[in-house]
This record gives sequence, structure tokens and C-alpha cells, in this order.
Amino acid sequence: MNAPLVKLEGLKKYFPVRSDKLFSEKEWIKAVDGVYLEIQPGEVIGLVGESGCGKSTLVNLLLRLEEATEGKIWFDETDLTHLSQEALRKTRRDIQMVFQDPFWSLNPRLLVRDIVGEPLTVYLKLSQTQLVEKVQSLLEMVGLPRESLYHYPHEFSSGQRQRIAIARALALEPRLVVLDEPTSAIDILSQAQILDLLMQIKRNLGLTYILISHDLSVVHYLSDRIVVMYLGKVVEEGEADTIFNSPRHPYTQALLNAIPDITKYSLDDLQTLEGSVPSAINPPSGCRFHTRCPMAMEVCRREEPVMLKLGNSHRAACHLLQSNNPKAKRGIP
Amino acid sequence: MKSFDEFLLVFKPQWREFQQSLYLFNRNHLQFASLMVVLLLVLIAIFAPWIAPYPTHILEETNVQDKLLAPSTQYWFGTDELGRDMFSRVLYGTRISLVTALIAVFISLCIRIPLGAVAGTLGGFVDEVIMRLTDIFLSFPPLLLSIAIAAFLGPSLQNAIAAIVISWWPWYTRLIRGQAVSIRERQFVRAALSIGTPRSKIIFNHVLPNTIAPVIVQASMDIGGVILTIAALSFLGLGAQAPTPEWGLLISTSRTYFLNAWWYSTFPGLAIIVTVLAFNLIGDGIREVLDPKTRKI
Repeated sequence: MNAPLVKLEGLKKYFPVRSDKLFSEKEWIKAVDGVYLEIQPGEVIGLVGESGCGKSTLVNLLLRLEEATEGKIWFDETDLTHLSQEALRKTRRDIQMVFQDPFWSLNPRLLVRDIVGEPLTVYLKLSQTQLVEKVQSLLEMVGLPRESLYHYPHEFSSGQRQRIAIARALALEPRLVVLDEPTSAIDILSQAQILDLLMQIKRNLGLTYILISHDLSVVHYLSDRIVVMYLGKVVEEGEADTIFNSPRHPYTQALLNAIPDITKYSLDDLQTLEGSVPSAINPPSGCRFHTRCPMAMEVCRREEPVMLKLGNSHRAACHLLQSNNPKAKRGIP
Repeated sequence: MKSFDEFLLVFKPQWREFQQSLYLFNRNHLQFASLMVVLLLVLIAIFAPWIAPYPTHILEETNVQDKLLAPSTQYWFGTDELGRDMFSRVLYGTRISLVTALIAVFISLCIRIPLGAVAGTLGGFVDEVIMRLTDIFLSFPPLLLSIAIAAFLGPSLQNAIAAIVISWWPWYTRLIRGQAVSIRERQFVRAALSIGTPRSKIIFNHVLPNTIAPVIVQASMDIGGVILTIAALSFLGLGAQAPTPEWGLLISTSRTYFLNAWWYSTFPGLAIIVTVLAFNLIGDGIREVLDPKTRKI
């Protein structure tokens, strides 16, 4: 295996909680609590999990929009967490992001030329003509007409706006692109087009993607590997097909069972988890999922499960998977 | 030396925008009328000494044999107690009102924009100090505060401007701060941060352009408000002093002759109403022109 492009080592991010009491102990929201992850160049990593499980914080840490509390982020052998602002700027060129809602991520007062050209003007010294040419070629790459240059974002449909956002992310020829729910704000037909576009761009430019999405079918379609997060921790990761066909962690199974499917006709056919993600201020002891896990055991309350290697690149953290566990022998339903 | 093509490339969008702005303004007849009135007032202000039929009547010259004459073909707006032509004096008053209002609003903007932007963007302690300071000023009714300051500084037009600037700045500062705070949290600012855009560029390219529209709208409406306040201060004897033909002062001196010389107070009053109304209406027009969403044509 070649050197990973991104390597997260025990990454943690705690947010202080503002307390009303004067002398209370300081409390922390453990948004990301010890994440280890490797991303190979050219890979598409799907990051899934419920709202509030720390996906967005993880990405913000990677982009250094937030400072990590603990741990290291290696990007191509440099540790991003300890880079000075000046050195960070150089690395930042290589990591770009496409945001969830293209209506809010594009400044309504700038022309498309200036939006897509912004990263270019920040990093490169181009003349107006060069800039316009470069922006035009970027717009062509994402399938927008050349005339879009002199229009404002609100003159476009949501799908087209997302194309503008993608063009901006690609302007500096980055190596890693973070896609934060790139299709959730877009109508269903444009969604498919955007996904195709993303795949095509990836193949042409040899990019690496981190894809965050609630929509598991989108994740399945795009990703090579899937990472499942729950309450700031990775609970399972593996090849996309492995995760979809034989998920091992009960949380992953629950997520997959909750996909609304055209063949399931009523809501009763969907198996959903009770309740919602517990507060990250005082996460449950032991296995964090035990409060909602249909198969919780005594040990889950006490001990935190470790990551177990289940296959070539398939790993999961669950007590059920320990080889000495009687339930594991029978196989998990 | 830039080539002409490059020039076109750079200014093509600006030209398109200018045409669009005109179109938007013309769409609403009332706003268009107010734009015309404001342009007319500006022209009057610039050329007042030349278009006034009796330029010498503007200041001290007296003409007592013609005192308090009703409007006629000779004196369109009648004459005052010293026989001066009211038409010339009201015309010249336009210049005084517009210039003082522009100065007052401009100085206030110079204080408010940096203060509000700093408070909103930096937050924390600085924000706290600036906002509590505005709270203190906001706890006085603005007109009353202006009167108190003008009285303290002594009656003159300059002091009236100072009084208005001092009593009005907190209103804008709040407005700009609120805008800056809300824009700082917008996704496109985060997007710019993730690109690696330096903070100074973020303020100039993202925060300020999105802040400035409501400020300009507010400023154009406030020109009306300032004209009104200056007139009020002058009326109370705290602003312009005789023989300056300031509208408020004209109305103030007309009180004595109110019963038998209706024209004396009427024409300066009408001038105030028309001017203030025109500036308020033009504010709405500017809001529409500046909002990119109304540009969906």
C-alpha cells in the first residue's frame, strides 16, 4: 500500500460548554473523540452517521476552520495541526470544499467570475484576461455555458449553483475535495447529474474525495470506502460493498435498514432506531451506542469496544464481534 | 497599458448593471419622480445664486418699501418683513440644507461604518464596549440630545451638524454591527475561509458589500431626517442664525407675521416637505436597485 494522502491520528475536538453556574466543573462537548483514519490517494471516502455525530466537525478540523484539541492530521506527510498560518496557506490549496447548500455558500453580491475566480486571485497573480479564460474553462468543465461569467448566483437553479461551487473548488487543482452533502439541497434529477459530474471529474483529474451525506444511496454510488461515525467515534469502516452487503456493527445495520426504498410501501417496513443521538456532553459509558442498541449486553455498559479487524480493510468496534462472544458465533442477524 | 478589449472585459458587467439599475428605478413611477426631484434639488443647490431672481436679497440687503408683499409676478413667493424676495431665499435655502445634510451624514458614516464593522467582526470585549456606549446614547431621544448638545456648544450651523452627528451615530453602528455579525456566520464566509482567503479580503469582498446596501438606503433616508432636524434646531434658534436663509429659520421668523402673511411660512415649509419626501422615497428605490434579488428581470 502506498503512503496515505490523509492520516488522522487520535483526532479530538472538545467544545467548552457555557455554564450558568459560577463554580461548576467545566463541561465539554466531545464532538470528535479520538478518530483514526487513513485515506489513500484517489479514493472516495463516504462519511456517514446521524446529525450530531461529528462528521462536520471532523471536516472543519481537516480544513482548519476549527483547531483540533488533540491528535494529528497528516496531509501528505505534513502535520496540519501545527502549521503556521503562512505554511497552512500553501497546503490549503490542495484541500478544497464543496458546501451543502449552494445558495448560502455563494456570495450573492459577486459575479460568477469573481466567485470562481476568488481562489485564483488569492493564490495566483493573473491578469484579467487570464483569469477570465481560466474561469471560462472551469465553467466548461462543470458543464455551464461560458456566458455564466457575468451573472449572479441567484440567476441559476440549485443544480447550476452547485456546479459553480464545484468549479470554485476545482480552480486551484486541489488533491482532496471535501463534499459536504453536495446534493441534499438539489432536486432529484439534478442530483444524478451532479453525481455523474463529480465522478467524471474525479476520473479525469485523479482527485480524492471525502463525501459526507445522509443519503446512503448517494454514498453507495460514489464511495470506494465507507466510514460510519457515531457520537464522535468511528464505529465501522470498510469497502462500500462490504458495508452495504454485510454490515457488522448494529448501528450500521440500523442505518441501512432505515433507507426508504421504493420497494418498501409503508413506514412500518422501515426499521428505525428509537430516540436520537445522546448528548455529546456526557456520552454514555462503555460503548456509546448501548443506549439504543437492540443487542446491548452487560459488557457494553462497562467497557468500550476496541476496533477489530474483520477483513482486508473491514474494521468495526463492537463487543458482539469479539471471537469469545457466544452471540458472535451464531452470527449477527 | 491595458488594451481596449481588456477594458471592455473588466467593465462589461458594470455597464450591464448600470442599465439594469436605471430600468429598476424607472419601473416605479413614484421612485422615478423622487429621483427627478432630488436631481432638480441638487441642480438648484448648485446654481442657486445664479437662478435666484434677486441674488442680493439672499443675505443682508433690505428693501423695506416692498415688505410683506403677497406672491405676485414680481415676487413669486412674496417678500419677508425686510422686503426680501422669498423665492430667492428659499432657493438658496436648498443649498444650505443639502450641503449640511450631506456633511452630517457623511461624517456620521465615517464614524459608524468602521465602528460597526469592527464591533461585528471582532466581537468579544471590543464589541461589548462599543455596544454599551451606543446603549448610553440610545437612551436619549435623538432630537432632545441634539438640542442639548447644540445648546451646550452654542447656536451655529456647524454646531448643529456636530450635534446631529453625535446624537445619530449609534443607530447606524448597531445596524452595521448586526449586518456584520449575521454575514460573518454565513456559509460563503466559511467557504472563503476554507479557500484560504485572507481576513482583510473577506471583510472587503464579502462582509462590507453585503453590509453596505442597507447602510446606503438608511443614509439616503437620513438625509431627509437630518434636513428636518437641522430645520428644527434652526427653528428653535439653535442652528443657523439670521440672516442665513435656512428653511427652519425662515419658518421661525415667519411666526410673527403668520396671521397676515401666509406665504412667508408656507413656501419654506413646502420646500422642507418636498425635499424630505423625495429623499425618503429615493431610499426605497435605492434598496430595490442594490438588492441583487430584485434584479431578476
